[in-house]
Amino acid sequence: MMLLELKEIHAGYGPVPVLRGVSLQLGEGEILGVLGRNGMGKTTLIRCIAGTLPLTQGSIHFAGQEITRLAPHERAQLGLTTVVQGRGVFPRLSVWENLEMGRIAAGGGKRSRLDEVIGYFPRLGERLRQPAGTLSGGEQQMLAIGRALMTHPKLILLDEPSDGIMPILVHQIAEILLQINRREGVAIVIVEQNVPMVFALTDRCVILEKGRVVAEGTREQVSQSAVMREYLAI
Amino acid sequence: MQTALSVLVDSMLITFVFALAALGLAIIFGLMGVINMGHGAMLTLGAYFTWFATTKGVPFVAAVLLAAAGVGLIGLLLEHFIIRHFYDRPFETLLLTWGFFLISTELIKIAFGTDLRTVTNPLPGAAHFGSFVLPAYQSVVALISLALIVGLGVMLYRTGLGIKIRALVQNAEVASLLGLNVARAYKLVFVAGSAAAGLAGALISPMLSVDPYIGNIFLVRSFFVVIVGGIGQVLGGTLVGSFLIGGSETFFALFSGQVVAQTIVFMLAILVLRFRPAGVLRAQ
Ligand SMILES: Nc1ncnc2c1ncn2[C@@H]1O[C@H](COP(=O)(O)OP(=O)(O)OP(=O)(O)O)[C@@H](O)[C@H]1O
Ligand SMILES: [Mg+2]
Repeated sequence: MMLLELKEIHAGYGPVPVLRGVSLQLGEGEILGVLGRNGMGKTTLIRCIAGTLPLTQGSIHFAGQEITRLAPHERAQLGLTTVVQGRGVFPRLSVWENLEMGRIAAGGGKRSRLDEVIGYFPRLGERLRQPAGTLSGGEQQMLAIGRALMTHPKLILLDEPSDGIMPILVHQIAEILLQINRREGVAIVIVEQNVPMVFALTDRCVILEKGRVVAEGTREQVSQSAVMREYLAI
Repeated sequence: MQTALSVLVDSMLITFVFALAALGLAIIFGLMGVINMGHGAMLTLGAYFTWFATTKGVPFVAAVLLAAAGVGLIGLLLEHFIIRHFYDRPFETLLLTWGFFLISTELIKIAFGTDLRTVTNPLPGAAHFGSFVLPAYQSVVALISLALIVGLGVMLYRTGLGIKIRALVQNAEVASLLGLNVARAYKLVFVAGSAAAGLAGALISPMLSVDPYIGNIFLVRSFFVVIVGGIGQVLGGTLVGSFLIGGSETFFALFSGQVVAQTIVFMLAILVLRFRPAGVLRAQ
């Protein structure tokens, strides 16, 4: 059974359509990369899956149930969590409070994964009392990922985690995401412009262009597609 | 010396009464950004509920708790049927809560009449220190006000619920993406702010005569307290704002009449807003 399934979804802002019939499938514990240039609808796709933007057509299934009309918090409670573009840490909450919010937002009672998170991101462990707004961009990204992990998700949606982070750190974060995926069995959908980051994480990707999936397949297949050659040349 | 001491004590008592009166507004405005023009009416309702319950033989403390619960319930209905549909539109919520103020004031007049009502002071005694007097009831109310502010601080900064509320205030969308039921959290905050206003009205009722406009005495001051203290500075801001507004009002009243004192204070408040628009506690 598929963990996540989008069937022909359409969405946009006002009369302007942005997504025009996107279909995707993802199995449990899989990683899917979604590549696309600026303004091609990557964030819009994330918002549709997360539930912050309603679909105009199509349907979304997650973990064996239709979630097309569920509110974002209801989707999160089913194990679908999102790391937004720009990371969205709570700036005036401490690092520890940000992480704790991940654990308790849906009602508490979950086992704390603080030790695991600090294991993945030791830099967070050294800064637990620091206000999250004073962290560097890279540290904020680590915090956002760690906080997502605290919710005990089945699937994490990541919107451009490489945005504004230096390449060496991007590489480290990709490594850690892979570890998280392997050890915790968390599936990941990562939306990116950074091709190396996506290729470091997964074999399976799709290319989004003007609201449609224009290429799909393994790294090799996608690399060979005409769109990708054009894309990499830019 | 005696005068200085008694001005200081009077200022402290006034500070805590103002803080109590402003707390509900500070919660709803500071945490949700909703300008609750109905705040004064909620104070008034709290006072009338207390008057009504005590005349029916309910003990004062129980009447106060009933008044807080009753106004909390009214806040719940107001939020559920009206306000929650307009959270993203500040001007509409301002008009709607003002409508609530007008309607509830008329309903109060119909239900309770316009005569002045008195709630018997449950603690009429006072401690005398030479020429200066410490009224028992006002002192107890000041302590309750302080306890509420400290309790709210502990809740906001030391509990999981507090983390959720502060996270919600800082980024509602991300809070919902982590699983927080944002609509329910807003509802909780609105009801808490309403109940705080009801409690304040109830506790203030024995200090003044109760009429349909008793809440208005505190409405403008409450706004000044919240704005001078700094919006979003729910605790420190409310205390500091109350001290500046209440303290200077007491101080200037020594040299002039009440009305002149209030005018001076409001002018000072406007100056503060001109030069420190984010409140005295926060540099821009
Ligand atoms: N709130 C909005 N209102 C109107 N149009 C919007 C809104 N958000 C995005 N758009 C438009 O939708 C299109 C897709 O935007 P989207 O944010 O999904 O792109 P993206 O692929 O995430 O881009 P980036 O790589 O820059 O983050 C763009 O043309 C954008 O201008
Ligand atoms: Mg984007």
